[in-house]
Amino acid sequence: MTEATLETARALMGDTLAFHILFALLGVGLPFLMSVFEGLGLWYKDEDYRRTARTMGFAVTALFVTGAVSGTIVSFQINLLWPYFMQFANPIIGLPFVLEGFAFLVEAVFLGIYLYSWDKLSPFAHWLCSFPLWIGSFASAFLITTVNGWMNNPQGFTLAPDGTVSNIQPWVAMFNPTAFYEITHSLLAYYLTATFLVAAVFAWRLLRIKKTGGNEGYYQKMLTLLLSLALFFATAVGIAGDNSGKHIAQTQPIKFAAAESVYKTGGYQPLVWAGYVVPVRSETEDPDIRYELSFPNALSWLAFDNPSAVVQGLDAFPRSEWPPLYIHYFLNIMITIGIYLGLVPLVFFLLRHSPWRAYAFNRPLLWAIVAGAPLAFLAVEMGWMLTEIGRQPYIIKGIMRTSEAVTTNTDMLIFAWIFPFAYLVLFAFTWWILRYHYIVKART
Amino acid sequence: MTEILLPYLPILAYTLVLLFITLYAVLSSIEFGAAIYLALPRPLITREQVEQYFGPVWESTNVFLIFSLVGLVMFFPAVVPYLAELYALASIALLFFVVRVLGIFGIFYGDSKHPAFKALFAIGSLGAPLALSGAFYVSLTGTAPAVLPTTLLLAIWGAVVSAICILSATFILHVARSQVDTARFARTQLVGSGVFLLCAAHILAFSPALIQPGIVPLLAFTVILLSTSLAIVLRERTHPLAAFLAHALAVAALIYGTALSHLPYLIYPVLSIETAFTAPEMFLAMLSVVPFGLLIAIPTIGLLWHLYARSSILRQ
Repeated sequence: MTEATLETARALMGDTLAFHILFALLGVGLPFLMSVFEGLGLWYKDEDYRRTARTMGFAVTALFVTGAVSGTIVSFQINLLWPYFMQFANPIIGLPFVLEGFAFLVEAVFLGIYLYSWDKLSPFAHWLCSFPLWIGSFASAFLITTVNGWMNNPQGFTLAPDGTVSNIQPWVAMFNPTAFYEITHSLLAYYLTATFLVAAVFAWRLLRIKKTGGNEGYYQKMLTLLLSLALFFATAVGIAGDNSGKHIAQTQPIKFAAAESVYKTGGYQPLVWAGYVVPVRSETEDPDIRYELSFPNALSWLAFDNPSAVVQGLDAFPRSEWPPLYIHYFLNIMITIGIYLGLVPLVFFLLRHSPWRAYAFNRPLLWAIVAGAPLAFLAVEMGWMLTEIGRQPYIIKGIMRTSEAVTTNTDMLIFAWIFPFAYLVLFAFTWWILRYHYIVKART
Repeated sequence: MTEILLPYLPILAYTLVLLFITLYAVLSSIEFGAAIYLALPRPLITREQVEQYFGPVWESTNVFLIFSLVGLVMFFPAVVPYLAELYALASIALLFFVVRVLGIFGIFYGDSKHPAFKALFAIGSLGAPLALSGAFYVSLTGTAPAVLPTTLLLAIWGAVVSAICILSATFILHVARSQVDTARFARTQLVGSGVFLLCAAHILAFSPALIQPGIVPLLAFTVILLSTSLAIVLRERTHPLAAFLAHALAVAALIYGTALSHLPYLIYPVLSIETAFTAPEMFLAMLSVVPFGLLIAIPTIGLLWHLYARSSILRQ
């Protein structure tokens, strides 16, 4: 194994996952939103909601196709690029992969049923068909995230000094405690992102209507619902993120120290915000951060509910175990965007329930909603990069290093640029057909 | 109880993996064939018919490919480093899937009539299974396909293409009999069946040095011959669904016959199913969830089929 092989494998896996997550999260979030819209349509006997659910069907189908292909690529890449990881992990944490197959099957079949049966089933029966669809996609994400939780906090087996594995408990491995925190945080973030994406589409339409004229009422009604969902999800993501952070502080202290830029162990740790992480160029050079904002005692309090609590810094661990220190940026970007995504709907509802309610749909706020969609995707990407890069140099925390897991096959060097190019083309085509369907075709 | 079952677990696991592969081969062939028929200079099927009978959820059949891969690597984790040696082959297959989706997007979602999209759809639909079948070649011979294909590889490719043609033809005849040129599809089935029989005979006759194939290849070929002949008769008596099922049985017989006659090797001659097998605890845990999964999956597929069949009949 050469350094080039390892870096290429990392890049290929990173490209693949970064691309797939965009579609996977929409595959989780959009069916749920469709179900909510259709359910409200039934409850209030309001065709506007049902129309919205039906309109979203095309996007869900198109994104499902892209997601199915990128998901297939992920399942191959993970085996082909990291064979020694899969060889070790499969007998311990293979169960969620099998279950995920069934969840995907249910999702795929019910997507077909849902789309086929708009005019063939009663409205209530059709709405019920949306449940297996969003539950299936939820279960897919849930199961795959349990594997990631296990990689961050492996359990459910005994490892002998000679490397042999015994006492395998598949269910214990699957229901590891880290999975719970990762699942709540990531799934809520997917729902928030999908909600912001749809809200951004409606906000964009409202901006266009304000220019060209048209019926604003429908878009305002949908946007109000979406922003109330966004406010709920943003609050829930914040709470889940806080819990997840506390859990990481206890179970993955090196990742926590690098992400929060804690370089020296001690109590009364300040919360370090933003700043410039000075690259460490030699083994003897101490890590440093400059131009940061510092909130005294806040990190000890946030992590352990006690302002004097001792937080382990990077100095407590050997340098060979440190993850890259730039993961501090990922955490900061993710949290900053999370706050933004909570503030936008909050401002909207404050305006709406104030004497200035006429300004609730003002142009700057609509633009802020539009901007929220790409930012939400960016936050999800940052979150996963923090999780994955923050675990380095390990692929399974404390058990297997990434360099031990990688393939020795150098064929991948040829494909290092082909796959990213293919993803770009696929992304462009997905964008093209969505634009064609919702803008060009709708206009004609 | 577990101790009694223990020696049989690897073969049970292998049988399940072969089932997933068979399901993928049969179900994906329907869609792959439609792409080829659409791209012919004189198309056997129209864009509207493909969309009507094969949409709206494209690429769902990939779930069975994932099942096959997951089953293989979960039940036999020692196979993964050997699979990693097939990176180039697998990547080519994956890129063909991307090409296929670009075609689908252009034709069915972008409403484009540009022939390039039909070409992409067909190239992806043909290229992906041909590349994937390379893994089958590796498992039988223990060597990667060479630049100049051997007769065995040509036979595997021939079996793949002919299976796609006959399975798709009989399925299309079932769902859209009144709307298509049945005579051309009948000829396609006849020619495809002949090619399939020839290729199957060659594949089943392949026997590397360390293997005593026994009676399995002969039995498998007998099943293939009978079911293929039956499929032709059934199609002529206008029972295309039964013909499709008979062809599916022939494909299953080829896959199972070849794999079982090469036992105990998973990859000849380096890896047997016993040495590659996972921890029994994990396999039993996985096995325990399969009935639960099937309990959900079978009724849902049944419901989809019911709605689909009803809508197809209504549309006809």
